[in-house]
Amino acid sequence: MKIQGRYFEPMSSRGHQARLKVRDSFIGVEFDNSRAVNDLDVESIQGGHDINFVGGAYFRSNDRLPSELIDRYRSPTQKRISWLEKMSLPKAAVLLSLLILAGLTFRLVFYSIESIAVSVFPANWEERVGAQAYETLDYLIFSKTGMSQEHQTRMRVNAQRMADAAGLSRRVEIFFHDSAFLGPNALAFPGGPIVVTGDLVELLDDEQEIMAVIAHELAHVELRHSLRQAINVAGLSILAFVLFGADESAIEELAAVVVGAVTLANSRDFEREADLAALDYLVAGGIAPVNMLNVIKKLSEYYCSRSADDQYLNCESEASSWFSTHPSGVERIGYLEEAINNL
Amino acid sequence: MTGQGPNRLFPNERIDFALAQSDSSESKNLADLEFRPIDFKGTAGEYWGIWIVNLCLSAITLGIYSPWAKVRRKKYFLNSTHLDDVSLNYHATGGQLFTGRLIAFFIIVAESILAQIYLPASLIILVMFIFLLPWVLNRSMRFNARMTSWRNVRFNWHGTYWKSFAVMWLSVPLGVISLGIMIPVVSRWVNQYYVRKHSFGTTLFRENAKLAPFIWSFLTLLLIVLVFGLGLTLLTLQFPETEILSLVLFGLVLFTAFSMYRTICRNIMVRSLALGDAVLFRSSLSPIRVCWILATNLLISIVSLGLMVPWAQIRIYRYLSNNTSYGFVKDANEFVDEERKKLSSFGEEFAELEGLEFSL
Repeated sequence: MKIQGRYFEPMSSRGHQARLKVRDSFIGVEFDNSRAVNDLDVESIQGGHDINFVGGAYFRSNDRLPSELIDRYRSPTQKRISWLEKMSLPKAAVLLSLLILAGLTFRLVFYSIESIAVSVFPANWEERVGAQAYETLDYLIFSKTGMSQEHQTRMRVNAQRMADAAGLSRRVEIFFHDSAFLGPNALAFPGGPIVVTGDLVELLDDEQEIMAVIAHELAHVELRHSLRQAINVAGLSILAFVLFGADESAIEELAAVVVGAVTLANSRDFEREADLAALDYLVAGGIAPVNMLNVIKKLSEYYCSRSADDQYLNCESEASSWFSTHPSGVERIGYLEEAINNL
Repeated sequence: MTGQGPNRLFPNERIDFALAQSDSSESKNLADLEFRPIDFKGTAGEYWGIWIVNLCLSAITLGIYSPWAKVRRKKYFLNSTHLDDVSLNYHATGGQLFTGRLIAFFIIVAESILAQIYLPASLIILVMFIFLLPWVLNRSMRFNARMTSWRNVRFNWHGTYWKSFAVMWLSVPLGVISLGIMIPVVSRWVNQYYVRKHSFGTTLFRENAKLAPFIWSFLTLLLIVLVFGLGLTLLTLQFPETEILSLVLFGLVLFTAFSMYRTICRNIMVRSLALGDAVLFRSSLSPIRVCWILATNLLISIVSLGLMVPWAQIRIYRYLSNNTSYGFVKDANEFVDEERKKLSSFGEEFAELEGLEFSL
């Protein structure tokens, strides 16, 4: 087989008219002046015209290289991939189905792995993470509260009584802090502790309602929501990388948006789960569950009044925004009322 | 491999290429210079097959195949890009990229674990990353350039650590701190760095873009954005129910202005670009057309649930290629022969390179 083209010396882009000679395992080039280069080793064949040789020489054929020559330097795997890439409608349908199936399988496997991972993840590791995060925030955004020590101790004792009555497996520390950054708020760190802000205590002005808030936060700790969220985000990111990491395009950005949206949806699910679990804890502790409802009403009212012009909080909306970490106030009140009626 | 190639390749006889036929000529008159557009011969149909196979194999192998998929994709685009009837070649292997990704993966995992166990460690690691990333950028840019060739000569990157550090960590803060006033200066600086530190073989790319066009284009687009912003604000004040619509419209105006500015910057840079004293370049991109292509590409990709992404990628790449042209001041063969003399003593070291992926 002789193929007309141009031969380039190693590290040179000066092309010389030449003929590629191919015979069995031999490959070489010959020139018009009857000189020749023999025993070349093929490094790669690219684009159907270009042969890169080991050592840096290069040959570009005038016409497309014969497919039998290209195939000779392809591994069996490369040949199969090349066959797959030559698209036909049935092949496209099979590959698309395979892709959808792979996506669904990942999702299924991932949910199974999530529950296993949560059950085997050591509780003391989770607590260490929570303690470290608390220490950092204590330094950055928390300050000493004006609440009396007696008031704080009484609420801690009541909360512990409620936790014991509800049969909660973890003993969680409760701290009260002021925070200009957080305003009236409460948060649960992975594995504990729980922080309730002085502003929230002032806003609610009712110990039973504060117990409802603590019950909600205890549910986050007991149900290991922070850990589940972390595993969710990691798993979804890996899934997005697997499916879209092969490509540098806008679809990668879209994948990131999807991961974010699913994460926020999970966060809303966790909030709902904590709201409903809190009702059980309150009942077990002998506290009226309607306090949970009152808390949500007061907080919704407070945040809506503060941000009347803010469209993003959806104060009047029944549905939760896609970009919310919590369900809307209206939605929370709806499912809490229903759950309380069914108790 | 350190320039030993020629001796290995000619075991029996030494060819005197100086005697081999080649046509040289005087440098051309600049006015007579013929500019030819970069020819992109890829098709959406061909690329769709590559794209879906890449996705499927990456999914089945839990992402392990994705470096090979990337090589396949880059080879398709570069092999379909022709200058002077010769296509670009890509020499990286999936194995090299896989090694790079593995290193990056282990670093990120180690960082995450360390940060979880001991939170202050994440601050130390963050500082380390700030100093490490410019080095990674240089390695990655160099790797990508050296893995790309045209007519058997490889591209190269000559960025230095501290310049990359400055471009990476000072460009965005400068634009933000100056409330946008410095954006034209920063754009020119980043583009200049990117262009001037690339070379074809040993010949550096040159450019002499003036600052004034950057400033004028930025100010014009800023004025347009302000006029639209003012108009939409007045509309919202008059009809409060149009607030969401106004926000969406303003987002579109910002997207359009940003895309147009990037396109204009590219035109300015390419029009002043030269490869040594041998090749000149031209760019005739229409900013409005680029915006239209990008917006419709995004829309069609979303509507088709991603299935039209290959078509969208081919469409923008073809437009960019066909509207970028080059003209040889010297005869191509004469220029490349000079390259060969310089490259003989260049001593290429590929062994040190890894497949790190990162870019400006």
